[in-house]
Amino acid sequence: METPLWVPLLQVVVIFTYYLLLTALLIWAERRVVARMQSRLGPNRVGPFGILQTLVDGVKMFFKEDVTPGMVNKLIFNIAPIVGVVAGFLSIAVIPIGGEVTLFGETFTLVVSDLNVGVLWVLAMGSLHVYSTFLAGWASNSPYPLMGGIRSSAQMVSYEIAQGLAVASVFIYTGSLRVSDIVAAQSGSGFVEGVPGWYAIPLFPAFMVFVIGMVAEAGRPPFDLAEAEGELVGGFNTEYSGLRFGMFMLAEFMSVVTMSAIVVTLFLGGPAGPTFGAPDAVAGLIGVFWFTLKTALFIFLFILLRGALPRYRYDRLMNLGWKVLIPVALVWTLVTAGMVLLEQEQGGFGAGLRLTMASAAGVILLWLVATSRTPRDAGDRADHHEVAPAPGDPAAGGDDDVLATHGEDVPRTEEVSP
Amino acid sequence: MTLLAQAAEVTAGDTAEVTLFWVFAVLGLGSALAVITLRNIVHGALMLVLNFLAIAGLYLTLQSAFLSIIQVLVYGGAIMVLFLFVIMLLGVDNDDLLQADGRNRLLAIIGGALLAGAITFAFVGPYTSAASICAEEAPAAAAGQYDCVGLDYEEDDGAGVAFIGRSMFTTYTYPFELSALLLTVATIGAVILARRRDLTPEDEDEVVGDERAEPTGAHPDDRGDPDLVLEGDDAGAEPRGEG
Repeated sequence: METPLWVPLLQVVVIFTYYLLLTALLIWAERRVVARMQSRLGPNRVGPFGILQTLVDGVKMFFKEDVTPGMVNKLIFNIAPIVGVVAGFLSIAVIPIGGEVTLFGETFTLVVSDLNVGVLWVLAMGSLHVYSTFLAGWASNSPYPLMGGIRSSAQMVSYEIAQGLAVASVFIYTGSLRVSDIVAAQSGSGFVEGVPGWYAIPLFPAFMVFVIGMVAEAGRPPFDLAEAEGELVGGFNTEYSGLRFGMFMLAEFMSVVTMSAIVVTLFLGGPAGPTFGAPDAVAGLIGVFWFTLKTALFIFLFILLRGALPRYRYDRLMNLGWKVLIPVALVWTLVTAGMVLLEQEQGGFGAGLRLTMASAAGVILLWLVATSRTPRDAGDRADHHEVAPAPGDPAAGGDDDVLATHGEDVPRTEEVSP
Repeated sequence: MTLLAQAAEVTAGDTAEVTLFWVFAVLGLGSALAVITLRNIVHGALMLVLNFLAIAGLYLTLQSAFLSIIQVLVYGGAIMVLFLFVIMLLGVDNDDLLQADGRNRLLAIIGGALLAGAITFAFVGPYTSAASICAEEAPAAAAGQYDCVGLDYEEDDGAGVAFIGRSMFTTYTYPFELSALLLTVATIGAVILARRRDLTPEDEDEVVGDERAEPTGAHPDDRGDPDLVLEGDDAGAEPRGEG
């Protein structure tokens, strides 16, 4: 049966618009929520509650003068922001935002392409996204951007490993790399009747590793070392302005949406949720609602993290990635593989046995993490010289909202050194 | 007739697969040439990225989506980022490169030609006999011929994952483990060679005057500002009091 051309076109347009809208709403929501956390008002002039602020900012970015400094490598300087946006948009292609929809006699899923290597596609696009910040930093031919670029590449490559291992335990558990199989395997009940069979429960350590890793992958606070403005002016995007700077901002915020969508798909069942006995044609659209709700929760988590936590120190970030997350993810991948193999040999466990095993393994793993002391290396010796930052010191990582106007200096208790 | 002739026949057709093959083949060869001819080392490395992506495209035309995506993920993503990372940290100057004199160049050409010949012979050789022809029709397996299925095995998941996994961990276990061992040895060797002599370095004072840390050296129009010294591998390690 031939699918008419308008079906894939509609899928592409719907999903493109969906993510673009979600990103625009995220930028607005972030500024409002962070403002509220800092006793400010935030943007409230354009549209109801300032919801159209992103649109206006986009127009502003578009018409601002786009300066290309003289010392840059022009070709790569121009390519870098495009790579980021393109990789960001491509990675959402395999994520289904809803169930099956029937329109004009054609039934299709709300996903651009259900690749048979879908999960790896997401990781691959994430690894190409590194080039954006990295090349921007290098092509600027300026020391602070270069340092930002180098930091971000080391950070992303490190956390990619932990994330990849966390994802590995998901597809070992499912036995398929196809995103639709992973979503289907999580629909219905889990161990206990009534509790959803989301992978966040049996694969909890992998879930935690993925959630921490995705904040680092997206380069968001508290892991936004690539653009630590207290230390690096603006990081990799210091020399950028106008539309190209806007593209970096878009790519960063889009990666928040993308990462939230991916974690929802891999660990929280994607668009699965109660359909209240709706007919099949509408049930797919109810899936969109559940998917949006779950994704919005994770986006909110991103915003809260940004508002609440000071920036991590770079060597600690690396320690966390290499000495905690990667070992945990590695062990959990092995445990998952062992469980799947045992189940195949035994011909299936009872639900109770599986639950006991999974929780026992999780408790042991968490205990190991909690009791083990990571060996202190050279970088940690700086602890002895730590001084409490002076109030209002920009290096102490205060308000880092590049878009919002910097308001009054709000005292932040968490800046006291440990 | 051999498999090569058969492949040439298929390539003479006008399908999407053939078109894509030509696009990726030209891209791959062109970028490979650019890697060794471009004088700017970062441009060369980026051409290598393009080359890896083109090879990934070739894998796709061979119906091996898994290999293709792994090529992008591992080579295009992780390994090339590390390459560029090292290039930028070390700040290799253009003057350091391509200093081969006539004799070295001749030796390099001969060695390269020999290696290319050996690889071509090893890979193409098995496909020059009549027995290598794959059968378009299904029942031809009886005649001692292969089926024209490539990696898209019927019992597989359509991406070649299970097929590659089975081969790697059953038939080719020893080569696989040996190459893993080789990589480990290489990594340990690199760590030992790169280890610092003094085992108790003064972290706070080493920043200035660290030669490795010249940041902008890799750049073509480098202005070489002596004041702009990048901290080495512990960038950002100074106390900030926000742990």
